[in-house]
Order: sequence, then structure tokens, then C-alpha cells
Amino acid sequence: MIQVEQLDKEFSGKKVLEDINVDFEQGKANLIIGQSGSGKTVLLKSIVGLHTIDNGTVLYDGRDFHRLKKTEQKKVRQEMGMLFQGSALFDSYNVADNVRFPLDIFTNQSKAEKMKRVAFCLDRVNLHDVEHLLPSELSGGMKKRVAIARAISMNPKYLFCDEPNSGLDPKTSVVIDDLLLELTHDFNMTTIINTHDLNSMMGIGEKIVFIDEGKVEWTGNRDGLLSTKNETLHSFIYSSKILKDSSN
Amino acid sequence: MWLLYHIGRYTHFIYRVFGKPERFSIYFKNFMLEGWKLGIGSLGIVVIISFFMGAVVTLQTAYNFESPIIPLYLIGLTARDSMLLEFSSTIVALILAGKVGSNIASEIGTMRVTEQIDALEIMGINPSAFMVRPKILGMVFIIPFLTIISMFIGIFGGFLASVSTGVLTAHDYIYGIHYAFIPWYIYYSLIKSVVFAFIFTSVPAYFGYYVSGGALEVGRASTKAVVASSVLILIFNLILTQLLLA
Repeated sequence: MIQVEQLDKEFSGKKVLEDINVDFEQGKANLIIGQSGSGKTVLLKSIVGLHTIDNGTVLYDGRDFHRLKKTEQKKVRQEMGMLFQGSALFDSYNVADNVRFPLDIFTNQSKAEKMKRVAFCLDRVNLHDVEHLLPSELSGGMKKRVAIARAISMNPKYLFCDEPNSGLDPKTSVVIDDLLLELTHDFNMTTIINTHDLNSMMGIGEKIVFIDEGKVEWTGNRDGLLSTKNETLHSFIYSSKILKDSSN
Repeated sequence: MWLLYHIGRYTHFIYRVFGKPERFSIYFKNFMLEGWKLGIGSLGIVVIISFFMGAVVTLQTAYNFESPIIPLYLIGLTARDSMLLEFSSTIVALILAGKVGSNIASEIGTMRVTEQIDALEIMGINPSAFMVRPKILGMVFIIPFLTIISMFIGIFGGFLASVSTGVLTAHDYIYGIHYAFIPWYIYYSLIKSVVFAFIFTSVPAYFGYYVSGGALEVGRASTKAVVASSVLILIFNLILTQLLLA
């Protein structure tokens, strides 16, 4: 479980996040939603420690991440996996080396054990016979799946995904969403997903946090999303032309 | 203020680059790879420019020696000392600042804007140490060999030019390159080249590491890196010359 309490963050005097209080539950897909510029990427990066925070705490199962010593932070980081918007695969490494990379750095496993783990992770994301390919030879969806395989290679307790569907077609987006949800349940991870994709919200939103202008405006789940009385969220959701047409 | 800001941030960056490695074997493997890629990959350009510069320096010296009382073997001496004192360390470093420096700045800058550096950080890896240290150490290790090769090739280029054009005999040239030889010049050149290699790897790495934005900013960082490295090489050339030769 990840608890964010009274978190503030500003850049050059401009408040980007203000008094954020939210719990992200274990074994669930927790979605942070909001329009572009609302502060959801800053929130995610503040949670994982890529941004420092001005006030507040981020607790990883009770451990106050931003106040831990560097060595203790490193240990927590080894329990994290992250899927970046652009996949962030290492260009000069092939698929197998990308997935194996954290194992090479942090484990003392033999090469055979590591390759077994790589095969397992790639199998979990439904990728086969791609071990020798370079990232430049993969499609957008395949890159995302390799990045997920790399993120789960160390068997993380916490999985973070920044816009996992950006640049993907609707069909591939659903495949990635389903995969993230399945892995979250199978590995009992605390998964936090940043998205503004309505399909994702309705498909995998077991817990949804709506951010607007740097503040938590609404929390709930996919069932309460469409019937919300919150005006800001309502206007965000129903800005979708499909929903607008169907509600008329 | 701007200069102090960069000096402070660069110092902090270098402190992080030489932080404790996560796993020594991986760093050693990367050190070997970078030494090969950056160092051996630069061998071709070093050989070509050294050969032609040695040849040109020899011919220019020969055509400027008009007085009959100046012995011709001094042409060989001039070519040798030009290569040893200045060309094989400083000019080669300036050329490598363009080739290697822009390569490092754009590689690391691209890794920054495509979030590969963030990915390393999330994994609990010190990205500056992981990416930059093998490049700096690889180049610093290989540069003395490149410098010595440059000296030999440059002096050989001068020999071929002088003999083939007939400006002086092979005997005069060989006598000249042996004449009044000061071994310290070689150490001086090697010390300079090591300092320059540190500059033209670490400064571009610094510019690439702190890029924000996209492809345009990576290109700008690469240009700034080459300019800053070249200026620093010239400044340190002056300082080291005063310190080591005075």
C-alpha cells in the first residue's frame, strides 16, 4: 500500500500539487486521471522519487520514502517497477538484455537462472521469439510489453505506469490494460497508472483518483465514474464525444 | 553567476559519477566496451590527421628555412617537437572533442529525453556513474596510446613528405628527430592528453545529462558541449604548459 499525505509540490513558485491526500491500495489497479497539465505526471514522479517534494509524506507500506537514507531508498526502489510513457528501453540492448538488466545489477543469479526469468517475464507479457531483437525493431505495443516485462523482472511490490496507452491503437491499448490488471492481481502489486484514456478508466479502474489543477477532486471507482455528481469530473468525462452522444 | 552555477553543478555531477558502483563487474565490462568504442573508434581519424599534419609541418618548416647557415636537420627537429609538444596532445584532443564529445552529449541527452535515465534511477542505479564513468575512464585509459601513435605517425608523415619531395634527405631528417631530444616532452604530452580526455568526456556528459526538452535541445547541448570542451582544453593547455614546462 502507498499512502500520500499532505503532499505539496511547486516549480519556480507555481504550485503544481497542493495538499494531496490519497491511499493507493495493494492488489488493485489504482488510476490517476485528469486532463493534460493537471499535475498527474508530477504526482507520479513525486511518488516514485524522481521529483523531490516540498511538503508531506509518501509512505511505502509505512516507510517514509522521501525521508529515508539513500541506501534505504535504493532498497525500496528495487521493489518498484515502472512503465514509462515512451517505454524507455535501452536502445543498445536487445530485448533479452533489457529485461535481464535489473537482474544483472542486483542479483547473484547464474546466467541460466536469469535467462529463465527473462523467458518467464516475456511469456507473461505474451512475447515470444523476440529476445534477440533491438527496441528499434519492435512495434509500439511490443515495446510497452517489453517494458512491462522489464518492470516485473525483479518481482516488484509496486508498479507504476505513466500513460501506458499513449501512442497505441484502441485494440492494443485494451491488451496492455488487461495485462496490467492481470499482473497486478497475480503478483498482488500496488499498481498506480496515470491515464486520461476513458477505456482504461472503465476497463481497469478499481480505484480512481481524479486530479484537477493540482488537487484531488474526486476518488472512487469505475462504477461511480459515469454517475458522478462532481461537476469538474463530469465535464472531464463527458467531454468524450462518444459519451456525449450516447447520453443524449 | 551563470558560470558559478555550472561549475557547482558540474562538480556535484562529477562527485556522483565517481560514487560507489552498484556492481563492479558490470562497470568493468562497460569500461572495456567504452574504451574500445570511443578510443579504438577514434584511431582512424587520429592516424589520418597525424600523418598529414606531420607532413605539412615538415614541408612548411622546410620552405621557411631559407638561410644557408641553418642546418637542414633542424626541420626534423621542428617537426618532432611540434608533434610532441602540441599536436599529438592538444590538436588531437580538440578534434576528439568534436568527434567523441558530440557523440557522448547526444547519446546521454537522448537517453535523458527518452526517460532511459529516469528508468535507471527508478531501478535504484546511480545513472551518472553507470553511464558516464565508463566513458571517462575508458577514454582516459586509451588516450595515452592514441597520443603515442599520433606522435609516431606524425613524425613518419614528416619523413615521407621530406624524402618524397626532396626538401631534405632521410639522413638529415632522422638526425634531426634524434637531435637534442628531451624525454620530458613525451611525459608532458601524455599528462596533457589525459587531462584533455577527462575534459572532452566529462563536459559533454554533463551537458547531455542535464538536457530537458526534445531533439532540438539535444542538438543544442551537443554543440554547447563541443564548444565548452574546446575552450576548456585551450585554457588547460595554457595552465599545464606553464606548470609543466616553466
